Amino acid sequence: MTGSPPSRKSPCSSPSSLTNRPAAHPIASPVVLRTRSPLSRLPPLLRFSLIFLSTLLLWAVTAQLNHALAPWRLYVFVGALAVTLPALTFPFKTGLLASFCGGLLFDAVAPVSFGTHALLFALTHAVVFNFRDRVPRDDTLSRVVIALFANLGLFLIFSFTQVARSPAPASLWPRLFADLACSQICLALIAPWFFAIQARALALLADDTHRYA
Amino acid sequence: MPKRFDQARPFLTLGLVVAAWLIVPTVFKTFTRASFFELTAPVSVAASYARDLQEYWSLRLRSNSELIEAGRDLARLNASYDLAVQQNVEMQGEIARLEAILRLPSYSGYRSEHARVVRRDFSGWWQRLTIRKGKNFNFTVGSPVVFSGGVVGRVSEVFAYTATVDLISSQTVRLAAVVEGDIRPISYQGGLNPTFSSAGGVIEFVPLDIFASANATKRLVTSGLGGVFPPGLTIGSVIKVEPSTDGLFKSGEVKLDDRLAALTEVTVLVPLESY
Repeated sequence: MTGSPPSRKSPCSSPSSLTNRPAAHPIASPVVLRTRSPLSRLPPLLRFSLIFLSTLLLWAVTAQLNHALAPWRLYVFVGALAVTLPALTFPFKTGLLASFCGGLLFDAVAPVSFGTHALLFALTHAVVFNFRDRVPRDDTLSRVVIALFANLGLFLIFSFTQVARSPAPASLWPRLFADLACSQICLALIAPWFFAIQARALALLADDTHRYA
Repeated sequence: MPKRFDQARPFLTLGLVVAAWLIVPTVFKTFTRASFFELTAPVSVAASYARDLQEYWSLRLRSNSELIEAGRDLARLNASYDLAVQQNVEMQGEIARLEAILRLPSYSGYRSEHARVVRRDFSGWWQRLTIRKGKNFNFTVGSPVVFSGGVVGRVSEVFAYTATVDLISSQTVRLAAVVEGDIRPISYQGGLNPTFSSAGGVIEFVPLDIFASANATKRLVTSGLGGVFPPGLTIGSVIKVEPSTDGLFKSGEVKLDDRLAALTEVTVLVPLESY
């Protein structure tokens, strides 16, 4: 065994195939230039709709979870899940629109200025999109790790915007850290399921299940 | 296109989105917010109906003897409430007579409307409830919400079939209160919500001659000032007071009722003028 094994990376999961952007190193992934991703065949509006509906599902699940956790005064925030897949696989504008509208969904049920979540989600989307070519993003584990970091950033930034309203800000932080820990654990648990749902929904409509499952 | 500019393009687009969002008219934002909320409302309401159905079937499993015992206890409770209602009517008549004699302005009346809790949203940032009635029952923003243990909060947003209640433990709720037996108003604000523990709030401008501790608590009630909450409703127990930095007043902490975290039904006091 002298040579290295051939790469098993799926052509659809490479960055350029998902965004229609030219590959940075065409020689390293020649297949990309010959095939067109099934995801790219989906109309942008359909892609956006699927991601928005999955965000609605995510919100519904977390709302019921928070309802059940309320007597223990615990809270789960997993907003980064709504951003991760669009930021890692979609063209920038479609993904940004999906993330922004997902944020509006979170804004509508929160007592904050309308647009706060949306702009934070959009910012997170831009940041993740900007470094997505430099990190592994094709396997679920990498996506979960990226989502965990994104959720950490979102939670902390959002907390800083809200903490000033508290009459006792110092006493608020232990609660926020407990919520953050609970959120990160829940995110790590549900992220694989959520990414699988999003991928399956996209694959179903792209009529190419094998590439996205 | 230079590579450096290509890397900055996402952030440039983001900047344009932010700028565009900032100049969007408030009317559009309000309409969009209401639309998105109404999009999520059926999900929460359907889940609450499912929980009610689950509770109904679990109650169906109770034995007949348990139901008979519960009915007997309920009959006794109803008898005592009937007596209280008769006394209440007599006292209302007395108040009306005194108001007429002394030419005092009458207290504003309220209509009690019970509502099921659809969703509890208790984060460190805010504490809210969504209830299953809204504009269809003429709810108004600011209406007080109560339960058997005292104040729950006040209605902050009213939608077509649901309404949102800011809980008294939320940092967004501030109201005038008095210590039971005293008439001097105190400022109360929610915001202490530790994990695995009772919610609370802080009080300010407490007179220097009021003392309370965890072993000798004082009941904090609504003052009636401000015209939102009727006077005498329980807010919580004052568990700590200490002199504030200015030395003119004291400040302290209030422990709220533990049942607030597990409410399934509340009563909204709808002002009669709005009905």
